[in-house]
Amino acid sequence: MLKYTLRRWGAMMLTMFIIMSLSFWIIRLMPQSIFENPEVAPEIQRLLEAEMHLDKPMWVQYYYFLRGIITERDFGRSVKLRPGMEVFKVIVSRIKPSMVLNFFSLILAIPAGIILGTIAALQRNKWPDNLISFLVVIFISVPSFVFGAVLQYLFTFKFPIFPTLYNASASSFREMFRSLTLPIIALALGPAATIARYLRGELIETLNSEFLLLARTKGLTRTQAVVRHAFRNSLVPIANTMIPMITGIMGGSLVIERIFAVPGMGGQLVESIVVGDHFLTVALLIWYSAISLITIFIVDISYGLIDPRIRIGGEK
Amino acid sequence: MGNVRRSVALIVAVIMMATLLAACGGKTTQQEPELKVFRTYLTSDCPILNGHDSVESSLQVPHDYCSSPLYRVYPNEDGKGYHYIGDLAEGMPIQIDEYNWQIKIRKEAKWHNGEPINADTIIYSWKMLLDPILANQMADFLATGSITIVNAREYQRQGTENTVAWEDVGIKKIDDYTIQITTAYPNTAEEVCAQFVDRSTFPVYQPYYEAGMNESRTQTTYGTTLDEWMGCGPYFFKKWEFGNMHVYEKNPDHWLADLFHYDRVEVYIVPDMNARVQMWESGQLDYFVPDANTIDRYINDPRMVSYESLGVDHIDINCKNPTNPISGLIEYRKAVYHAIDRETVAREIYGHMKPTGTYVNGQAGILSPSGLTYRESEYGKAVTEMVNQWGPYGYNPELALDYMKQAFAKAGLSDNDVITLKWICEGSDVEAKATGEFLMEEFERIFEGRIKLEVISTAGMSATQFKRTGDDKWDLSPNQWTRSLSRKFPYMCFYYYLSTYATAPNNYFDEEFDAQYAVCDAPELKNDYDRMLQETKKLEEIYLEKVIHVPTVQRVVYEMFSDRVKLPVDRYIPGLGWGTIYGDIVK
Amino acid sequence: MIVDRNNLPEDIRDLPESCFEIVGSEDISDEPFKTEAIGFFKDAIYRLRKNKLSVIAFWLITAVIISAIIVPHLTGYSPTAQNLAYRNLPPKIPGLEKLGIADGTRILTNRPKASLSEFPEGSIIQIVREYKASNVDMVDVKVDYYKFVGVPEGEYHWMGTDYLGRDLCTRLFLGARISLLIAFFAVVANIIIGVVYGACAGYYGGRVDMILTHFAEILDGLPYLVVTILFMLLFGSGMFSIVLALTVTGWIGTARLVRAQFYRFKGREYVLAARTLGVRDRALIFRHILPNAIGPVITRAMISIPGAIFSESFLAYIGLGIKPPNPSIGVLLSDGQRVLLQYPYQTVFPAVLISVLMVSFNLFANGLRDALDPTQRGEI
Repeated sequence: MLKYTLRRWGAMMLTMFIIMSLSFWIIRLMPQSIFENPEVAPEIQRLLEAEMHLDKPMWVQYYYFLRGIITERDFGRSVKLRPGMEVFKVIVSRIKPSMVLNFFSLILAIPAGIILGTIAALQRNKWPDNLISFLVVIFISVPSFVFGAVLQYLFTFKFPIFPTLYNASASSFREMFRSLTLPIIALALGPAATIARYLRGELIETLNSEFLLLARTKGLTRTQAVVRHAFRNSLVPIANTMIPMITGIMGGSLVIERIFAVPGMGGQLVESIVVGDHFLTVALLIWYSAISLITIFIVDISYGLIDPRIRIGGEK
Repeated sequence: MGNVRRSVALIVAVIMMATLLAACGGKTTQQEPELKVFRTYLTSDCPILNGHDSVESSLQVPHDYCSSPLYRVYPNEDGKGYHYIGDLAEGMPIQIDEYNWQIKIRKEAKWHNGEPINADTIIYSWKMLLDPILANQMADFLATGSITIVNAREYQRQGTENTVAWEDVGIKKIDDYTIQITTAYPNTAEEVCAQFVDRSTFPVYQPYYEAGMNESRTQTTYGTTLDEWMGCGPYFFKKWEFGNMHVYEKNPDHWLADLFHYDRVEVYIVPDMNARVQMWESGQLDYFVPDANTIDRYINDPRMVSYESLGVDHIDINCKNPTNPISGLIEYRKAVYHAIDRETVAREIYGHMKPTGTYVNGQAGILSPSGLTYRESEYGKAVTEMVNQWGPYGYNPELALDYMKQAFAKAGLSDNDVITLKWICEGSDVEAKATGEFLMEEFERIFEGRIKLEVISTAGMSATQFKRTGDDKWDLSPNQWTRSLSRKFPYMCFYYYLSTYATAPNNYFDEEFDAQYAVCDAPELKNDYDRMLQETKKLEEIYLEKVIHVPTVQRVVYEMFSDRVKLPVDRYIPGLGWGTIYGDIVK
Repeated sequence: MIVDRNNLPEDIRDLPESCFEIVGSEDISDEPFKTEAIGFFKDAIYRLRKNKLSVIAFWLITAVIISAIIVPHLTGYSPTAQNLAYRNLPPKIPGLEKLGIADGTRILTNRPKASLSEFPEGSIIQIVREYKASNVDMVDVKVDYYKFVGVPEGEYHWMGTDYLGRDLCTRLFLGARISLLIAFFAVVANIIIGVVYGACAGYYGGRVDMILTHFAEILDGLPYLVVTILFMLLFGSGMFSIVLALTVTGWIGTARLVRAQFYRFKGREYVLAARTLGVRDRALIFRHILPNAIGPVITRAMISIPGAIFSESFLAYIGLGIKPPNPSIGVLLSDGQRVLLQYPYQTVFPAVLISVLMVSFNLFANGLRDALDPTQRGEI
């Protein structure tokens, strides 16, 4: 297991490096220039560019880029969105609200999805299943910007239970959490529904398999059999669907953050591409990739634990 | 496995409890009834607090409250006008001779940390603003505005050449509390004051400014966070939750503290319109600007106030599109000019705005000595009349078709040819997109199928950036650039369309137009307002004859203040606005 | 059975042949099956039919597709014809209007009481609220909005009109057509690429798996929004680039799923048996292992269709939707969200349609999945 883990870790670092390089080349070769201010004298422009090594050939820039990141976590400076601010700081300042929001929506979404999916599978084609399936479909199908807006309208305006906006300057954590409740729910609905939907399918399949029959003949109750045997078997494909979900949710939600004025990561990437803040864009890409890779890594390792047959590189 | 189940159940229970607690707990928060809180909003946060290098107008809000300029505009007693009062400055500027002014700095002026502010502070701030290597985007606001400071622009634009020394710039320290300004033209005291109201001229705190400077002195991190910024104004900048809210609290020790009545100002950052409407409706905001979609709901509300703004929306025409055979033709531009039903666009799509077939805005000239706007003057009215003879606000489908036929003939196209015009707009610009969709049908009808309009989103880029990607990428582009100096000199709104302006949004230039602008710009006209209007009329006529671009809508600003806010003025005053900052909260 | 004659009792030892007679028919062969063997897909369809919800869902999908094709031609309005005088009309449906739903009424807020006399005759239905603001008498008044703006009697917009006065019903179904097309192309492309890719990675394992999986990881590491925006920059916004953008990273999930299924089944005894019998790789992949993965893949495909519509609506929300004046469900939803508080019906109808599509595709996928599951064959 340790060897497997180490090998996966090495592979992940390699992938990370490739993505880092890819981001650098893709973004930096895009048509927008970094400093576009025609009112600035050309020699000043050159000075500014020299400061960021932009006057040198791309390969040299690439070297500086890698060296900066590896030796001093230096991703360069933001040029447009937060002019002059270190990109690293910009990201750090945005992570906290995103993290709180996304962490809670994940720990709301996963158990909720698992519970709903299990109930639906056990009560297959009876009314609880139909009800859950119906809710699941509503949650998956209505886009989050509609959901966010409707939740905000209902629970902050019609029935003012929660504050309209995220309250970053709240005096207590409870107060801040209260202002985050709606965005958390809005964010969690989709993933919870997706998990429930997949788990239901997987469990139904497993319920028909022979080892479950064996478990039942051994004298286990239906619930015991499901929880101890079927459940574990169903987790493999579920873990798959959770990878993009976690990446998505950790990256922040542009829409929900906009509606509830949460200064998170969600809008940053789009904004930075839009205004052409290249250093920030590259750093954000790396951040997103890192999350996604780490998630994949964890899922892979847990595969090894859940079902040792599925280790990457197993022979045919 | 049982453990897992139990822990899952536990987590769920904890979350539910937490949610419940959070939901119920909020009601117990105690209110402090005595505090006068003014609650307003911005649609996006200030990227930085350093006024030197950011063109975002949102910066003006924290600067006005939490920092102090040399002079402030203050409403008159009767609420019908305004005058200048010294903030950091002690009294009005003192005229030494025709070109020289002295400004006294208040002795009691100090930063929020207690350190004194004197002539050196101001000189340092301005020197940095004009620094040729820092290349600040706002430097022009100090160099040339209502007054032109001698050599300031030359100093700032010299780059690394060292041709103009700082000593040659018309900014001098006389003693610790006096600075002297040398101007290029004779000015009045008001004009001198007006120069120092903008956020760029506010003082910066030297220790932080220097600490944030990089090695080659091309950039500083001053103002990127509250820890790297220092205020000196009537309010303390208490909290800056980036992208969420600002909190300002009254500074009772400020020398002008008596003029400010709010105890606390809360600025929410609310990018979403629906959220703003809900906050306004539920009384969480004291100030609100409805947009084209919400205006219908408030148009008859007595709290609604409105005025014509500086902005005139217009359509830039690309005259160098290699893929469009008629793009260079004057007849084509005229056809587009006459084919726009401005009344419908302004009323229905923009939401109760004013249609216009001319370009000089409704506020142009309002700050002139006589206060007569160009549009209200006989010259402006004559041009409006000329336009209306073509049709309402220049809209005349028959004339448009006629011109288009001529353009087709000139380009050697037959009546069966179809030309596709690319209308580009930013994805977020709802009105521009809707106008494009509207004109799509209109052009089809008016030009009897000769013209097809294609609405293209600039996919994330700003329209200006998109245009630079190639002349073949666009034909028509809705645009709005304003120049606040046109309040005083009406002709200045044409400034961006001269061949001399480096980043012109358009690519059509005309010598006659340039020459006439130069006539208007002559120094001797600065003191002869009537002749200036007369020459502006000629300029606008050339503009219409050559169709430099196509004006469509005069923007009208609609604003609402809640009943609990008492404003110091009873109508909108150009240059001052509503004097919101001096308002009071009443029961 | 052979019995020794001598062991039998005396009285029956020497019975003549004639005392015996054959019981039953002479040839003892079984009767041949009269029915034919049921093939896999036939059985699947049979089992699918047994699932009532799936059948309903199937007909719902068919209904939406047919409406998407014909409704835009039936409403009598062109999807692009504008009438700015009749913008943002509320829904009005003949028949229902008498019941008080969809009767073309709207509550106008914040109107001075004095201005009521200027309203068109007969348009005022009821004053909802009277109050004072800044010492002016104000009312919220319910009006027949069709009369208020002067729409001729007998003209109906079943779902109201949008910001340019275009009929929303026409546009919604035209939008459904475009969205379904986008989704269909994107999903087909994703499934094909994903299945082949995942099958290769899962079946061959070892180095092939290593390389393929890492490549997918790298692609997946780039957020799809960035990829999408880059595509939009390259190809301009439009149907083609949206489909392309949805495909670039969309297949990875399917590939992962298929790969996992292959790892699960490739060690089974029946695969081993087939291999021992000399079945080629290709046949093993597509005939023996892949059918096991078909269930989840089809479920995924069915979910992906509304999912793609969903992604498209997100692109529309950030201004990267398809080119105007063509609508799509996403474009309508994002336009509607902007005026959610003023004209909620502009959001409700597209949201309902996308939900119906989603419910149907999901239920249908459920049925299909059970039907295609080889382990459930023959079960009813």
